[in-house]
Amino acid sequence: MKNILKLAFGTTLFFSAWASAHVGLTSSSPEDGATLSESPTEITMNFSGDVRLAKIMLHSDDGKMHPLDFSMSMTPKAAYEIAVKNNLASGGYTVYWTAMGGDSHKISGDFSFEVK
Amino acid sequence: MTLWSVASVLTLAFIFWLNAVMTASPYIVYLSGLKKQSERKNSLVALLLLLASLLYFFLKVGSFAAEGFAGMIDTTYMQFIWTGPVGLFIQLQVTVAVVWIFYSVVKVTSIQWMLYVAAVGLMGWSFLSIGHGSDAVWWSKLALLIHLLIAWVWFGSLNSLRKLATSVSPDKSKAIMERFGMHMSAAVPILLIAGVVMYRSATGQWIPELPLTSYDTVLLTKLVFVALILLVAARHKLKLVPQLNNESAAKRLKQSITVEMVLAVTIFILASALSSAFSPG
Repeated sequence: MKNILKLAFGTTLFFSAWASAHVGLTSSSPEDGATLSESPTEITMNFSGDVRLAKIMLHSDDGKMHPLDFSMSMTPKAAYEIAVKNNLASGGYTVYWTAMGGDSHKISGDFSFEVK
Repeated sequence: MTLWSVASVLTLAFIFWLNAVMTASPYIVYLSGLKKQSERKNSLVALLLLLASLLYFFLKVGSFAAEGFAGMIDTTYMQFIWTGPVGLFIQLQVTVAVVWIFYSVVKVTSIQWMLYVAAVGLMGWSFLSIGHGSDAVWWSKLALLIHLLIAWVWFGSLNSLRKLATSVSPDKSKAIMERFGMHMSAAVPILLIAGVVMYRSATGQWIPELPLTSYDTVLLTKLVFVALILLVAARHKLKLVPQLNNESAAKRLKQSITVEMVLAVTIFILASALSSAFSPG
């Protein structure tokens, strides 16, 4: 009985280490690793299936958050266009996003770009 | 997996278990010839389901808000979750809990049956709305429903069978266990076939191919536990039940059913992980 419990507990712990998701980000603009000559006016994201975008944040390398014209998506879709509210100064930026896939799973990721 | 995911998987497994107990409830009455479970016990199951459903909702809100415990009551994320598939799942499970309260107090048999069918239908619908079942083809949804129903009847019966092993005479207990074994011998192959069909629908292949995805690994682990539980069940059917003619044999059977329950809970946890945290492909 104790061995069975140990096996069951061990299995649960083992699988707490990782998880994967089916739907994912297929492309973005700016692309991951892109270098732009001027500040982007919007961020576009394309997913491999319909998702509900829950959160998107734009951070500069100094940790400062930059406002986006984003409201949470209540209906699922595969493509999103989010306006950048202010001009971005020269430097590195990272976009962090969180979405819910059609199967209700949480998916998240990030991509970075640089403004010259 | 984050702590939010682990907590969500465990809560979903508990909801699975409560749904199983509800689904198996009239079957145990039929099997044993004993009276329906008391109003108090049925109401307790309904209350636990209500609480577990609400906990699952707030865990999902907290997971998406990602702002610690305070995020669990973020109204924007509450609306986000409520209007999606998880929201539908919660609404259906809460409805099941309410239907079950009526089921526990109603005395008219025909109405009881209508409420039971409604409750089981809502449970099935709720699990079709989340996980890979939500965007599966119709035959995969049907396979999932069959898989769920058989697993619920089997695993949901275990606690009652465990008690019946020693609470009635060995002769009566033996007759109950033999009938249960006979029914499950017919149902389990269907459960396994339905599982294979679901896997085919989710991944496009009949058996996992190398390299294994995390989904495949969890699924294979679930299959190891399924194999273990089948061995335990076979031991009951072929050895412990035929020997059931005295108290010590009844105690041995009770202990072995406890092991079967632990395996069943592990399978529920792995099944919850497959439907809420891991994706094929």
